[in-house]
Amino acid sequence: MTDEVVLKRRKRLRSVKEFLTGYLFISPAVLVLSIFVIFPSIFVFYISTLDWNMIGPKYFIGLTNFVNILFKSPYSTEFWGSVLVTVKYVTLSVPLQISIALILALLLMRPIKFRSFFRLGIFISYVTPLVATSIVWMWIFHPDYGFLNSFLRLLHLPTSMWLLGSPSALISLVIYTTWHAIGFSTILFMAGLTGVPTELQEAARIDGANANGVFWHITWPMLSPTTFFILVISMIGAFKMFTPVFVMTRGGPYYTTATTGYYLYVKAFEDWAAGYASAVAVMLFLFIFALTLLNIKFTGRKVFYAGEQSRGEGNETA
Amino acid sequence: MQGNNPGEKEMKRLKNIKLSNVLTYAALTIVLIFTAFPFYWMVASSLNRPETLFAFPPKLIPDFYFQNYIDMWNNAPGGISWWRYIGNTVFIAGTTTILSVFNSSLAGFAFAKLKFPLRNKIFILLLGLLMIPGEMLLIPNYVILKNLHWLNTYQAMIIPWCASVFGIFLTRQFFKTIPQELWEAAQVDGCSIGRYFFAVAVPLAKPTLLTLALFVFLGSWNAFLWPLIVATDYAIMPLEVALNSFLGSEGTEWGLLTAASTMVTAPVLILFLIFQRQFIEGISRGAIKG
Repeated sequence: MTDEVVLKRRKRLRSVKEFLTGYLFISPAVLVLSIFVIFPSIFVFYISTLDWNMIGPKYFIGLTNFVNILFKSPYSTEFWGSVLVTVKYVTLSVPLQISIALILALLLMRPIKFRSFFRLGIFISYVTPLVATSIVWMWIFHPDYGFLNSFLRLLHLPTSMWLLGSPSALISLVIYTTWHAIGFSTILFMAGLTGVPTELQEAARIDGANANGVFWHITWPMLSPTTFFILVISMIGAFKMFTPVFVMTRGGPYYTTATTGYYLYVKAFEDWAAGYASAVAVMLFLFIFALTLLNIKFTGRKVFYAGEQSRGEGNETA
Repeated sequence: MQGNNPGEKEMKRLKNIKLSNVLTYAALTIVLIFTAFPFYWMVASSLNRPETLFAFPPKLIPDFYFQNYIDMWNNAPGGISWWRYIGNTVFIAGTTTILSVFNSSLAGFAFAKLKFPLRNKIFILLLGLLMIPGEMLLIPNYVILKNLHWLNTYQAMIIPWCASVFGIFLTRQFFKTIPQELWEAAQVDGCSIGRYFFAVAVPLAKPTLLTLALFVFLGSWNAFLWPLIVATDYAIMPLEVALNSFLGSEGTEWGLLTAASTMVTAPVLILFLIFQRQFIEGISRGAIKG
């Protein structure tokens, strides 16, 4: 055998070994994701065609669940009611969050002292557990003894029932989630701002543009992919929102805070209507999928719902 | 005419800068109070006597009354010890983190450095999974776990989370930056792929793996909806779910409730203060460079 043949054989052997190792290396992750993400995301479509309480027999009912959700009262009233609550929540929270986060990011990009201290303080609430901090805010929102009403009373301002009233309960949720997520949006805006070339801003300034003009004609347009990204993940977060609603209001009073994510939970794990709730889940997926496509179209960016939390863990208030 | 004086103009400019600096600090301080005050109020309330809790005007300096913590500790939900819940959470979050970082970095390395058929197709498929909201998977996964007889087990809260697309993506990005020459040199020295991964690639990736570990640990520690569904036995409940039960049983004992909230929040806050740089970098990297 010549050296060349040996070398060739060795090389081929090595590449066979390499692709076997490749499959071996990806197999644990692929196995887990296949069983707990890929398979269930197909399985859910099948369950949505059933009348099933997760214990008894399964009855195939075709698209009846979807027809009920979309058109038949009382189901459709409940479902569209939850969508309306979610839309109201988004309308209140998203503009608020985006404007505060953008202002904070702009301020934090200035050459100021204690910058990392401020950034830390603004971001810290994002990492804290939702149940524990929801309890703290329930205490702050307490109508009789809560800090918020006491503070308002000291200033001789009108008080509120907060979590127990309508529409104040939804506003309270907006305050809580803004508190929880504001640091996250701010960090994203700061990352976006570092991508805006300073030469452009300086050139505009030399040409006589004032700070206002530089912001509206350069910074804001260049920042629009980031803004759109935050807009979309906030909307997705709103549709997924569950924990603060579950802990603080249980959807009340009178379903005024029952978001779609909460409605899905109630139908599935309190009423045990697996088929119906799966149909709600499919609708939820379609909303989120449409938003994601919009996002990819406008920004060319995949949505990473704040890391691994994409699978329903933890921080749904992005 | 006064504006023509260059010194005066300069003074005005400096004054403007000073004013805008003052406004910047003022605005940031107000937001900082908004974000930090609830934590202060949580700790202060947990250290107040019951009558102080209901005082008007509210007392900003607490009584340093530690009885709340003792009462909270002795009234753990389900009639078992808080130690059990703490142990459950530490065990679940710790195991999930180790498995997830291990599995994700193995896959991330393979996608970055090894050649095998369908490599890019599989990777793109996995990235596509990020678009699937977890809420859609709740019911089918519950059914799967039920059929596996895994309800009310630790593995129900660990195994579904022990691989992460975000983790695969993050580690792949890093492993791609390791120069190919290093791998070729190792091969000349007769180093196997496995040894190269553990002895060369993983040590180089330590900062990335640390960031990933923090996110997985935090996600697992803070997880609520999934454990709420699959862990109905007190014996295997994690802290957040136990805290929800505690809210159910002690609904109006705000001293005890804030004490329990402090206990659940403090470890996360400490972890965050130690690793804040990795957290903040992880957010900007994971979310922006999609």
